[in-house]
Amino acid sequence: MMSEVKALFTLMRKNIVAMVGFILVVAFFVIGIISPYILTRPEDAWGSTFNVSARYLPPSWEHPFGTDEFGRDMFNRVILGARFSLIIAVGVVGLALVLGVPIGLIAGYSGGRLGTILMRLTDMFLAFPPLLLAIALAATLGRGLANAIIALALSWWPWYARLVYVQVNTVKNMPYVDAARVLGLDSFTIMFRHVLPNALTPVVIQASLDMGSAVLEAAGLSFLGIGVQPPTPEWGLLVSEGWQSINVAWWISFFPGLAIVTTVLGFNLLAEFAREFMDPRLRITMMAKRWFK
Amino acid sequence: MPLGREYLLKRLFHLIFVVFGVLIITFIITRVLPARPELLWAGPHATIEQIERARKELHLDEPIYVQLGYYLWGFIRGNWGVSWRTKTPVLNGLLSALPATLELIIFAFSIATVLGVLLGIVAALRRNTMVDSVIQIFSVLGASMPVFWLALIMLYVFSNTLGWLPSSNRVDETLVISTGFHPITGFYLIDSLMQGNFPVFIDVLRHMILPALVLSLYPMGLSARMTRAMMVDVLHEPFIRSALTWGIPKKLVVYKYALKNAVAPVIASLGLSFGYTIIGAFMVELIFVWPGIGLYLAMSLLSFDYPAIMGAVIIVALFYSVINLIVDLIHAWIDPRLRL
Amino acid sequence: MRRAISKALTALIIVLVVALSLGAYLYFAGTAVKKPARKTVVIYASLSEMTSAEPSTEFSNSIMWMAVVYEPLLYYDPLNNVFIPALAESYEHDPSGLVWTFHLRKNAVFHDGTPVTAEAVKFSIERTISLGQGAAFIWDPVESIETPDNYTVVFHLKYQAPLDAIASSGYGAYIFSPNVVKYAKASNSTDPKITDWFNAGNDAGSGPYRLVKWDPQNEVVLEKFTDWWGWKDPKYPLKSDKAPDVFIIKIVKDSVTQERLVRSGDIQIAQTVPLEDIENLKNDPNLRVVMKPSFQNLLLFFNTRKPPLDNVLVRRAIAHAIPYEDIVKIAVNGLAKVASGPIPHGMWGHFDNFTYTYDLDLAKKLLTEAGYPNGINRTLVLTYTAGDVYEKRTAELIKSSLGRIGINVEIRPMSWQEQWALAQSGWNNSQAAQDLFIMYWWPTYVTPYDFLFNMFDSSSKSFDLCYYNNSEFEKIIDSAHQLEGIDRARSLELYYKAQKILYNDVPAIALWDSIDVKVARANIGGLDKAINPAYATVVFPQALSVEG
Repeated sequence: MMSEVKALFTLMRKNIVAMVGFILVVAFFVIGIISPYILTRPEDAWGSTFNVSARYLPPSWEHPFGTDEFGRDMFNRVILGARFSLIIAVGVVGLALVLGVPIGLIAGYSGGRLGTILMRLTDMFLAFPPLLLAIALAATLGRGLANAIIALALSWWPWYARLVYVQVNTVKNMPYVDAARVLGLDSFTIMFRHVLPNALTPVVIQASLDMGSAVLEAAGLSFLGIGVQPPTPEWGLLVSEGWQSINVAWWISFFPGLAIVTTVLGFNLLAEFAREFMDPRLRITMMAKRWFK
Repeated sequence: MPLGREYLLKRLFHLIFVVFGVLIITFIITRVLPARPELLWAGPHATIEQIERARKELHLDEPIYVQLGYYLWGFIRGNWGVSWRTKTPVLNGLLSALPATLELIIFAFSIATVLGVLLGIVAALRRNTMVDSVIQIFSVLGASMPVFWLALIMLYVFSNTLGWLPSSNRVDETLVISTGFHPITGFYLIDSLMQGNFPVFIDVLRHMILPALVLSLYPMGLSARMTRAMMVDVLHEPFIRSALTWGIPKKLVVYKYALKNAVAPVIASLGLSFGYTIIGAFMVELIFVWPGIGLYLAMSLLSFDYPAIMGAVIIVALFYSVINLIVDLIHAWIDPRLRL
Repeated sequence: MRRAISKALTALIIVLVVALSLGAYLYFAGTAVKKPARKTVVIYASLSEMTSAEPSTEFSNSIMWMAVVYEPLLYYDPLNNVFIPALAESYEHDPSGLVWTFHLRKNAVFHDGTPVTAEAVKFSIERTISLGQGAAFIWDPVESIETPDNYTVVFHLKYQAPLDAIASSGYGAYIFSPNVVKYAKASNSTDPKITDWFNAGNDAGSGPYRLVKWDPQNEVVLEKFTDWWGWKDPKYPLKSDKAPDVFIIKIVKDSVTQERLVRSGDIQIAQTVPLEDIENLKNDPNLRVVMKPSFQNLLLFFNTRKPPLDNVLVRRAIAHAIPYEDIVKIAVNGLAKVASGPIPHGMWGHFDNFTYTYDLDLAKKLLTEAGYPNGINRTLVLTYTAGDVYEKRTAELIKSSLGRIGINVEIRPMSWQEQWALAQSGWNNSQAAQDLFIMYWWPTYVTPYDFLFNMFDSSSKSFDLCYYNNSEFEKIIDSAHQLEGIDRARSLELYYKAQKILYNDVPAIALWDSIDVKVARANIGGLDKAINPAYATVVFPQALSVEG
């Protein structure tokens, strides 16, 4: 696997799309992690203060993203928002994996009746369009960051379960698995030492790239009012807060939305690249280009 | 190539099963998860008697499978509960909002398909040039943008600042009254043409163009990408090269042969983007105050009108399943390899 | 070559012919749609859906059109402190204040053509009382109603009460035709069939407009009732000759959209627009911005039974820790007045010395006195109505400010019904209810008693959501109310005393008094007459004049 990763990075360096995506994603992670420590106006960011004389200031050197109706600096709020988006992205994808992978694994490996039943179960969940189940769950469980993560994860796990199921099905019929069985290894070991690592790679890659969509969906929930609650500066919530004042202060909605776009764009660009990388035909073309450049 | 009857039946069973699954999941969400489901049904403003009546209506004192039975039976009979907010039955509210959403989505998808395919073709023909890169970036951007944000920005620019386009609703009320327009099907574009009411037709178009454009961005990007990929593949096929060397004009080659093969991926892309677009429609309806199911759901969410929320969720899930089935069927009809 | 040219030429000619015919059709189709005799239409956008169409029990949003389709006996103009005759031309009361006589005008008719008689008045009011819902409580003082002749109504009261104010209420005081029993095929006046008949979109009123279309979630359409007595009365103040033929209440659920619609001319009057945009709108020559006092205010209620808020010192500390001026500036862009006591500015019974200073040191001192030198270690829950931007901002501001004196607040948006239900449940179990909650209040009819009784009297379980229970206070306001119609001065003194008690006990704090801001197209005149703070959200279309 390490050689593959190395090849990946070499290819990336030559591919502008991938580089841009990579930089954006890394920036997102870095800012997300360190943001509470680099804030110039932490009270503004966390929403615990207000300043009447600084209301609705347009973008300037002092306030690069302007201020909102409470006089809070939007730049700080957007930066801190990255942290919440990161928490959501990791939380949703992580939880969905924890739920979906075991189910997919069991279904794929046991196959037969159990497999079909489990896949039918995931089908039922997949009958809901992306955010809809999350909306219904959030309406029942209640508002807030934790519930939003749970609701989104509960609507996402079927994807991963299905993905793992397909992967496991492919891998378990591979010759080396047969070889392992012939050698006398028990099912458990086979499943964990041979099937799982190979089946998981595409799933993990897919999950990492899905984090962008997690950010997007969480923003949607917050915008509808059933996700994160004020004064938490989550990007979707910031956009909705700026809606009321959009005629006097377009910047309140604009910059948080821009942050969402750049972050999700980064993930999507990487996903594009990964797709081409995974497709053997194109990978060969890519590598060939590199040799002959 | 006709679809085998066996295949059709299989898919239909699958659909029924999925619908059943949707109802069961929502049953769990509405009756099993909450602590006191009768409160959610009756609304907190209810009196003690109304709460008791809700308990009986929901058969909450009986075992779970009986409750499930009554739940499913109630749905089939059209009893989806009464919205607290509007005090009218949920099903009626949803059905009256449905045509508006359908019209918007159909219009948006039409734009997305036509423009998306065109863009994909152009990108494929001009592969590896600036045009190609621009189109590709545009496609990826379409998938990265939060719909509600884009809608707000477009609204601000085109409606508030420039004032070119109206900013909400489907049609200008005063125009409706002065020209005597009556909705017949609920699809205002069709209705206005049927009545020969040209001013209203134009007005409806003006109201629809902005929300539809915003909504179409994501599916447009997706179909552009898939069309491009398919075209690139097809253009490399030997028979295309032969045709070109034989002097058949390039345009003819492209449009007649290559395009036929692009149909399958376009359908696939529409199917893929449909789910995302439905949710996008909600946001767009909210911001443009388009009186469809999305707005109904958003208003219900705000006032925590539980029966209405669940009704909207179910109708959208059902709709989504049906459309998915249709897309799969079309796909399978075109490409027998996909009949899994 | 030649064949190619003529082929192209033919194609071109065909295309041209098709285009021309299409163009001709479109042109003629466009002009063929002749506009019928121009009816003037005024569309008034409402933020919330309409509720019911039942004049006896309606107590909510439907006042917007009910006050136009139905008429009470009198209207009240609070800013000039006069009563405007509606169905009653004149009235008087006897020296004891227990017998009130109303003389009806003789030319008023219901929309079905039948005359408005004393019998109809008696029928309507007695039905409202029997049904006992909504605002029926306003008629509590009434013992009996007599109709000595067709146009005279005599009320006998159990105790003294300002019956003129009561009869001018925007809720529960409407007169409708007794024929509803017949129309609804009901057996008596309280038969639920009549309510169903009303809610199906039928009206039995006598007002200047009749109900033509009832779609409570989307729009309510009213058309001019040409036989209304007011059109024929040249001297009647509340009417105009250029009143619109059609008046539509259109549900537009958010203020940003209402602003866009009124700017584009799709609607003529907007109920609310984002207050931040008012400055810009004032400069738009196509619009006019009308500001009038309103009797709506926003109050913060304390759960006075749940520690630490059961300690009056803690409540006083909080009262001094709230930045009232800043809240008005930030939450409503300056378009409200800092409240002074629970009675809003402009209403009689309001006094200017019931404000609390914003003094964080004093607040901290009071907290220490109360036994909490380091602030409060429990997080207090503050609920507000989800979707209301002004309440949301106010809540956030309260949270920030209380944070400065060591009180941690969690703000929680809830639907109004949930919030209300939660607060009401506090009467049974005060520990389960929220600690703080903010809500608006506006009066059923104009009297300080409405505010003081509903929100602070322990028998008002629906709205006394601070669970205040003070029998001295309750006695004072009862006397004040009874003296209202007879000895205004003494009544005022008592109301002052009552508010002083509230000021010291702090069961709730009034935050701000709303200013009613409406934005309309410049060609709509008469808004000053048509908007009356005693009838919140109502625009009386009969007083509007539509130019151009």
